[in-house]
Amino acid sequence: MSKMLNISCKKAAEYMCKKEEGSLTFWQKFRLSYHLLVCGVCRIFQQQDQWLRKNISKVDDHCVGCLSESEKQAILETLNNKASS
Amino acid sequence: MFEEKATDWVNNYGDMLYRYALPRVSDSDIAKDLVQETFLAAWRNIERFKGEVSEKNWLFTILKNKIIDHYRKAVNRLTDSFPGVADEDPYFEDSGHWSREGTPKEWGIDYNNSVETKEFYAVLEKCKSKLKDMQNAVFTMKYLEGMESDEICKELNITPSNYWVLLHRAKVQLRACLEKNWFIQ
Repeated sequence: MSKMLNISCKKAAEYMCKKEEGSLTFWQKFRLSYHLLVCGVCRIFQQQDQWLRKNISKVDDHCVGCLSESEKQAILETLNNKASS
Repeated sequence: MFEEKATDWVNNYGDMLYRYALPRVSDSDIAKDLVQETFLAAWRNIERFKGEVSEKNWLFTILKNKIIDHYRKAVNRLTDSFPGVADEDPYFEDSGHWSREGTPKEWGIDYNNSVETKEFYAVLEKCKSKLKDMQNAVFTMKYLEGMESDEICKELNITPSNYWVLLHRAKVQLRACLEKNWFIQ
């Protein structure tokens, strides 16, 4: 029975991805739930994956990149050349 | 006249646009080029700018299109070898079990809380930049741009099954990289 129900960890990772977008069939959802019930490692993965998804967009608030004055100058020069050509 | 406008744009919006582009293309030179191209395109289409949106939003819209163009070009360059689909997967065994390298370990954090340090996001960006171009494109469009999967497939001209493989591999790799470089050092 469990052999029929269970999917591999690799498949489970893929199903978790699809589940986010509601792209799983009823049977696939069932098999994913069963896998998560019996596989502790994939439960950790699921938690971390959800955490990552929640936090990834914050990368925008923490991006510290800045253009230096000389980089701005270089951009301006190129723009002036290209705009006049 | 152009010079004046360009100086104004670069000073007011240059950093903002650059910071938007950088985590999305993971390369400072490309990010700079895209910002430059954005200003140039804005100038060439300035007649069409009617002030219905703010100048800032208008520039961001142009930049977003430039970023998607950049992904599209990256995908076209890779037509003969489709990375991340047929090649081997270091995070799983052939049997589909987690490999030793890929097995997730407990991070020892409360998953309800986020990490708010700049250092963490620097590591996250670094890990993201290590993704293959295609994976990075799919991942960014999905999680930073918030696009739907069918839209992403259409833009990049890939099949849904390629999309799912690229996305879940990007996530598996990013997770492993963060674990190794931040959570469990």
